[in-house]
Amino acid sequence: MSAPRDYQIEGIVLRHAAVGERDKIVTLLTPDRGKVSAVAKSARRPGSSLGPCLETLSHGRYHCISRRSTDLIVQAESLDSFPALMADLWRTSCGLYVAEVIDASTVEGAPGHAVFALVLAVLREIDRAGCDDTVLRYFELRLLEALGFCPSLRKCVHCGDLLQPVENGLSTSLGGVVCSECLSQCPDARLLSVDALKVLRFWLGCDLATARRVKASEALSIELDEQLYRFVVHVLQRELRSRSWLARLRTEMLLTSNP
Amino acid sequence: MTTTVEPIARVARALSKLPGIGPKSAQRLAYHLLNSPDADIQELAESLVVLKSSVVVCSECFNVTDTDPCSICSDPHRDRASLCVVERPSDIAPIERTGRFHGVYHVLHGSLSPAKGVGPDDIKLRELTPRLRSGEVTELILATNPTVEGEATAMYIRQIVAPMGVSVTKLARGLPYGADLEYADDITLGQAIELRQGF
Repeated sequence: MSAPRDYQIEGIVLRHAAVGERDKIVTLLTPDRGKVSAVAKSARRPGSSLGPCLETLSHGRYHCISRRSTDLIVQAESLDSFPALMADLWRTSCGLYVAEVIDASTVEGAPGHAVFALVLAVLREIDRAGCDDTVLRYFELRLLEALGFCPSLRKCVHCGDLLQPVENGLSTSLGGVVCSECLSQCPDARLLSVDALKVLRFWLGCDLATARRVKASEALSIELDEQLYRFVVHVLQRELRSRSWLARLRTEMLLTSNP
Repeated sequence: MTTTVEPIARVARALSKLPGIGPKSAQRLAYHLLNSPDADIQELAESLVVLKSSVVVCSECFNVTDTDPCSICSDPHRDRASLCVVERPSDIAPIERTGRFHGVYHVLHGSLSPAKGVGPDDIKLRELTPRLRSGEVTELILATNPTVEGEATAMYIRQIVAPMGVSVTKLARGLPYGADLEYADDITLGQAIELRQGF
């Protein structure tokens, strides 16, 4: 028996592009099928009921039809429109960063329930309570975990000894923390403070709301940012374009608020 | 073995570089042109040659035009106190068709798109500031597309314009004329309720 031609999926729009006169090709993140690309006819026409559900970061339920070429989206129902996220430039930019990271780290046809749940939780949290460094770093760490690239944080990835509460190192090529003894033998390892290691371990065992209770100093925030971004870039094998935008926006917002 | 003669294949190759035209459509168009009257072909060829050489970008509003400044910027009857920001030159025509706006425009030639690496320096955003600093503009109307990128661009402009004391407005969002309320999506309907006005 052949597979049904039409199907319904829940998804989050990662990106879209214009096709033809009025159509859109949409890339969705779904729990069951990983990334899915589908065409939505006339979605760019004003008044199209599909259009608003197919904007980047929209969360909805999509009725699709399988075709030999790209699938077709024929109906869409919005489940979450994240109004507070869309109404604030910083929150929107953080949401777009999340979408870019996910787009770069997932493939079509590979189910990813954990990744989908993580993205939805992060977008809801940004919508509900705004976005700070903790949200983005937590997202990066838990995404690495969901993709199977979580840095090893308990034992030295070089000698296997239990880590001591001293300054260790984080190696992207070995995939985790190296102890202070092995540090000199791992050229790509960067120093990791005791506090940073504690925070990373804590984040791996808690939800996002609990993770936000961590009050990191500016120095610790910068350290976590640099260490995790190094890991993300190592896994994705590419830089993320939204990151420079976030950095610029943060600087300009600081200048505006503190003239 | 290729069966298409080279002049037709050459036209088809050139046409297939256009957006939305695949190899099959390009070949169909090439055969259509072959069967068209000589005068039509001559007209098309000449207009294409003139297109690139005669169209310039207006030095004031950055709209595409055949004269600099463009017909809107050089019109003494336009209200220069109202400045409408649009993403693309093609966005001006629908606003002009309404007959309700008599101000001038500023064309950004794009919108902010962090994931594509398009930042404020990649669009005509820096060029907006001197126009606002001149003191002539009292209202800035943001007519960017109602998309995530369009909204981000509008919010960014609002942020950089805030210290200049210019009134900033945005096109209203709501139900399209002739639409059926039953089929309205919750985002549009929500905005229509939020931005409802006295009647």
